[in-house]
Amino acid sequence: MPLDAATILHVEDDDAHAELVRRELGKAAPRSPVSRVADGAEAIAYLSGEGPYADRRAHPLPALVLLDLRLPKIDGLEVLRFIKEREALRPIPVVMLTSSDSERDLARAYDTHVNSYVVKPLDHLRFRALLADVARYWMELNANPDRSPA
Amino acid sequence: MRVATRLKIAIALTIGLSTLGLAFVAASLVVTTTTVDGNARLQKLVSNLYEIRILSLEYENANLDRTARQWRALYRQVGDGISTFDDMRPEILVAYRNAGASFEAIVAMGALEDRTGMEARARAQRFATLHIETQRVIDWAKRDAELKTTRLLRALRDAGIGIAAAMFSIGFVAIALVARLGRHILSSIDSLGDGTARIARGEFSLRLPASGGDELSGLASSFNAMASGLEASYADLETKNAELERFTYTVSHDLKSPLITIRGFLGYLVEDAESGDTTRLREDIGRITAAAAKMERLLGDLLALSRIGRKANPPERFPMRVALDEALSRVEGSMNASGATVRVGELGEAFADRERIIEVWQNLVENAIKYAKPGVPPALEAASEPRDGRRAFLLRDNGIGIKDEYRDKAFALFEKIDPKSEGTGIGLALVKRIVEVHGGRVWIEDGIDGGSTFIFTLADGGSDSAA
Repeated sequence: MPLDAATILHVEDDDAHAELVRRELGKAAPRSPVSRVADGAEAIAYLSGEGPYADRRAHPLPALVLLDLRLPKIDGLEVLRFIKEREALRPIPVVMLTSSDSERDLARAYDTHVNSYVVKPLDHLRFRALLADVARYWMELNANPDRSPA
Repeated sequence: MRVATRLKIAIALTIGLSTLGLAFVAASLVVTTTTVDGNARLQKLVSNLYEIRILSLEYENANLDRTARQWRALYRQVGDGISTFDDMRPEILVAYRNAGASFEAIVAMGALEDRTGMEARARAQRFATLHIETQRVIDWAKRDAELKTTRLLRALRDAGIGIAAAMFSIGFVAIALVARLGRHILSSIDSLGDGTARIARGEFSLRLPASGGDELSGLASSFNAMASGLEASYADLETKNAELERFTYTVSHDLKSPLITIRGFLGYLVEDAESGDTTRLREDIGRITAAAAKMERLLGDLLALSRIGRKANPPERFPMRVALDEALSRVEGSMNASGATVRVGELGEAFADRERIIEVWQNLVENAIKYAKPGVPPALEAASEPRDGRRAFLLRDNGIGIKDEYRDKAFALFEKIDPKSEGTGIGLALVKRIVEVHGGRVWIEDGIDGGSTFIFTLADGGSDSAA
């Protein structure tokens, strides 16, 4: 799989926010396809390759997970725990992208080995800049066992 | 045993021992007094007997009538005295009488000078008898006096021992009892002091041993009751705080979310206008409008939630059936649309804010209709059952049901188990708030065919007692 075609998995229950992120990533990482799932259960199904996500060519393991915290059914922390408890998924960087700036959420996310935690800015331009930074850092600059640095 | 009882026993024991000691001392003193009296009389007796002996010798030499008269007077006096001694031995009385008889015989013999040798010898013999018998009585009196003195000393010694023994016993018993009591009181006070300090540090689960049934264990029981009260209040406060924290968190998160949408898509409007993409322009305006409407709904819900408890109608007594019927009439539209049916059992009466209770039923019924199994018309059952000694009200449904792990979450503010369902997720939060303001509880159990049963209670007295 070519590096620049690495998939980004976006876990977000709010359709409008998903659209915002899709558009901004389309600008910041135009060659990375974005798969969006709407709740924690669906995220776990995608990562496990179960049900509709069994085909890994259509639904490849992501190179980055953008994870909302407050999700229906299974919340973001549970999804994070699911990823970090599995050897095959553990190297995938998980970035919490949430509107919560609560210290408790932040602490719990790091306790569960989140790779990064960013708060959604209200301001549109800062939102755009943040997503550009996140995409550039995690998709280009950061090295991990699956990918050598740019 | 109660501390007061123990103190009373200690005092009673001390008084008892003191009385015993005092009685012993009194008895010894009585002995002493009579002995001292007897001794004085014996001294007098001895001195009189010596006088009699002198008078006898005088009479032996001088033969004077005056001497004889003095002798007889003294003899009578001593005789009266001797007869009053209870412990007088008969031979002493005999000796004394012999002495008297000898003297009278001597007197009858007349003066010595007129007598022959025979008579003189007989007279001398009489005198000898007189002296011997007198001396015998003197000896007895002296010995008796010595005996009485010994007895006196012994009585005094016994009294001393009695007093010492009594003092020692009283002291020992009193010290032992007071020390025991003191230790008990001190250890109880220590434990109370320690307990108070630990409570102050927040160890509300602490309980002191409260056995023994005395005043101190009563104090420990009161302490424990206070600790239980504090523990309950603290737990309640913690629950309330956690709820408040969750509430603030939810509100800030849920209100921020549409704002992000609004500001994000406002940013795109400029791009849309510049690029002339009117389709996207319209879409984006639609998203902004939807987000604004969502904010409005959330704010309206928050207002409704905050009104509960703040704006309460006075409680009234009403048949629960009436409240349910009113709720059903308010949701008639969605009832008919979904083909829902409701079977109503015995519901009894309630004493509560009637309008709020109608809202509870309305939200529960709406919830049941909203989460019906696709293609299966909701079949609801309203009933009441005794739970925890109260009447609990139930609404059973045959809907999609809620997994155990989501049953608590279902009542949280703006929490929707199914994100695609309509509404803001306020309905069950409202139900919970209303029920709790009424001092009751609401929870979820299994329903019909995998559906749910929503159960709520009201405060004691909020419903008629369990059927």
